[in-house]
Amino acid sequence: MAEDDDARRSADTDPAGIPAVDAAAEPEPETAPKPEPQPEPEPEPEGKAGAGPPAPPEPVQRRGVLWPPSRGQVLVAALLAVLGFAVVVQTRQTQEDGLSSLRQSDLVRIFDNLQQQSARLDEDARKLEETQQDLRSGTDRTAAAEQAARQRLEVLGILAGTLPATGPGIRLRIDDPDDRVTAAMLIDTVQELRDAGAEAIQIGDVRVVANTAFVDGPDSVVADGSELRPPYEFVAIGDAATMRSALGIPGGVLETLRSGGAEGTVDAADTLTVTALRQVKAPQYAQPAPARSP
Amino acid sequence: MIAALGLLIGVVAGLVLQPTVPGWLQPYLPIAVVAALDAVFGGLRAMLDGIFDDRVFTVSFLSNVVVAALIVFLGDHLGVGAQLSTGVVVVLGIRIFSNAAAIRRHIFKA
Repeated sequence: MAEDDDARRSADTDPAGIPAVDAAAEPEPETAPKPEPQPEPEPEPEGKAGAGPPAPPEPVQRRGVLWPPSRGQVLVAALLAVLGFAVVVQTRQTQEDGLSSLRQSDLVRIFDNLQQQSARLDEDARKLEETQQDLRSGTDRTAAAEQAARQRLEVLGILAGTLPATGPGIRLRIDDPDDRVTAAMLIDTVQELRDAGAEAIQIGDVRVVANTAFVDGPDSVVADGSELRPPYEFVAIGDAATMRSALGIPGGVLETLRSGGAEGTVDAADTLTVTALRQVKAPQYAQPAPARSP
Repeated sequence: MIAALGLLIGVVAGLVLQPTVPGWLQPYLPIAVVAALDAVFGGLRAMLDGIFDDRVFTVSFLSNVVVAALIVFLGDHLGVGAQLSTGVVVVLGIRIFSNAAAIRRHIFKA
């Protein structure tokens, strides 16, 4: 009877797992079915052993091999069927979706994380939009500055004579059969044209700009190092009527030329082109002074 | 033999029926499954030890499942459900390992 109790006790404790340490410490569990038999047969808090079957374990095992299964074996099979079912169901459930099987606190935590992440992403998007706007307006500013610089380049190019110019104006032809025209006369002519609003002037192949010089040469006039031969051909772009009247006033350029033995003819045209160009050297000594603030 | 048959029937039934776990059971089913696995390993070990008992196995199986679910239930209501679930899984895992070690000694003698 004591052996039955012991056997039942160990049979109970083993599946319940209480002597797990015992089992691990036992070198040969087979040879020790009764590890340290304790005096009281049912000290277990579970008390399952109290309802143990009165039959010894050997007949139970032997019956397990035979076909007509005992009620206990059917029960075990049913439990295992439930276990297999539950495992499959749970596995499928876990694969199906992660959220519905979570408990409330986890869901709240996940929700919080998502909200924080969303806020962060919103912030990022806002900053990126700002950057984009900055870049776009920067591009606009750059384009405007480039446009202004280009216009300024054209204006300065026409003034400095580095760009060809076209527009309405007059063509002045001075015939000088007796070689009477001096550099001073040409300078007077150029000054008169400038006073009358000429914006681009060309004599022969020479572009007339701010520092153009006229010098009396041995047998003709030299302008900027190149010799001018009569007849002198002026092309001046500006208001044609003003220039024509400025040249033709009594005591003016044309009258002076005529009295000197030369003959000037003025033709107005809607479209004239000043094609002569002038090379501009970078200043060697002068540098732009910083803008003085008042 | 008939036990393995039952396990097979359960798996097949789960694959064929494809049921949905009801909401109230969802937090407890994983823990119950682990607890049942612990009971199964214990039973396997007892069988190899030659001291297997249907009734003991049945009772330990059911009590394992119920106690595990109860602990999780209690933890959920105390606000420590996640931590307690982890604890239960750890304890059951340790037991499964020790039982598996005993079974291994039986089978491989090592």
